[in-house]
Amino acid sequence: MQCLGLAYAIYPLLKKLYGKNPLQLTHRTRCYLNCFNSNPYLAAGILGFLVHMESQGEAMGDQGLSLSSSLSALYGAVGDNFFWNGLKPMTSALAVMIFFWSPGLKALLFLLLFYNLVHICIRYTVYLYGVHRGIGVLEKIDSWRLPLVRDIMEYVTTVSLAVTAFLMVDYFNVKSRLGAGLFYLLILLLIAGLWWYKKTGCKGFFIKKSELI
Amino acid sequence: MGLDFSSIIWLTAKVSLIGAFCALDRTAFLQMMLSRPLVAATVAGALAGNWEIGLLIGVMLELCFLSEMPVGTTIPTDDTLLALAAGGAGAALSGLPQYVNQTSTLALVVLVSTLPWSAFTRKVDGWVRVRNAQLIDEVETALLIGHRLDGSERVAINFHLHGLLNFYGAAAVAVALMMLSSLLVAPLLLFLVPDWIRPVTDRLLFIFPVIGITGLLSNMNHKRQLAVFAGVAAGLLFFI
Repeated sequence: MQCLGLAYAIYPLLKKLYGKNPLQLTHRTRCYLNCFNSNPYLAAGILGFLVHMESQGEAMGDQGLSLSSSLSALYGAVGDNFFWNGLKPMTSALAVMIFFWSPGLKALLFLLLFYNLVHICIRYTVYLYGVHRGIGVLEKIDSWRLPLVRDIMEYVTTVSLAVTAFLMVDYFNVKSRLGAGLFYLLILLLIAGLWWYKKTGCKGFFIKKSELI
Repeated sequence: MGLDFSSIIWLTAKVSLIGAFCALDRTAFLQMMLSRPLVAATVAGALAGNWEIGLLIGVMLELCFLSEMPVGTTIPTDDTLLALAAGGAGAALSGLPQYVNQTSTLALVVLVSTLPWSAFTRKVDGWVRVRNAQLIDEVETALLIGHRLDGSERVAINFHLHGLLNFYGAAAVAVALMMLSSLLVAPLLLFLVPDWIRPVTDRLLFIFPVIGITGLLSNMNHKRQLAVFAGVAAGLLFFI
């Protein structure tokens, strides 16, 4: 489905370049309907790169398309790992931590502002680099060392999850007969038990099941 | 005393039709975290008249399904639809006099009545994606048979936007179904909860963040992270 989005996004440029020749316009549009699957955020960089190549002529556009299939796979992996496995869990974990620390809309505002600030900056930068420097966008993304940043984010997530477990005691233990310490130990014990249960290969755990297309 | 029929229909329609825009943010449009349960449930709660219970339900669901990654061809559980339905149902029921001061219990019951739909949300998402994949063929066909001189490429390429409609329609119908079922089942569950156990039921909500934390920890790549978690958790014991 992403290829249709790619064709839709690049269509204004194709129209500008080949608008006078409808046959060629149709042909070039169909070229962009080939399979394209990448991370939606870093796809902006590939789109910029394709715009850069296509503006230099049909032959360069074809080269760009053949390169984009490798780029989409590469940035699909890097982007999925950075955004879905790093930034998203970290932002959510921090937002939940903020809620248990101070219940209210602060958590929601943090989630929206922080995540959007990061991904919009990245989207905008990679697109502009792609448009102006073509393949130079690779160097730019590489210079950010996303896998390293992702590792750091994973540590932030871990710490915020531990703090969340601690803050939950105050939040849920109001008027409880259980002592705060006992309740905290119960929470940690539950986490350890469920983690062990999941790691040992349970099949029916509802949060693990996923559908395949 | 329960919600009257017209209120149920009005609130369900409002939450499903407006809330489905949040569901679009998940894959089809923007991806600006409007689809996170924290946001979606709060929006649904606000639409049904009580954003506070929506926010509480959103926080409980936020971490629950986060360990499922939309990587490759995998379709994770659509927690946005669950959050919209649960947030809407919770807020709608919270307006009834018998549930005043029972926010947490109501949130727990609504979540319990909504979560069994998680498999259904994956089916809906899968169905829409398969339907949208067929749009590419439709565009190809339109480009091949279209009148190329009158800008028919633009019309063909607009099939792309039909994909949004598929996502929106499926989300609206799914949320309406789930919210209606929750509005019917949750009062029944609340009726069945004995009075003596009611004061502690609200505290059972902590199980949802615990499941989320466990899921995220299981997904961590390095064993060192578990040591960090255990270290921080043990260190915090001194502050109790």
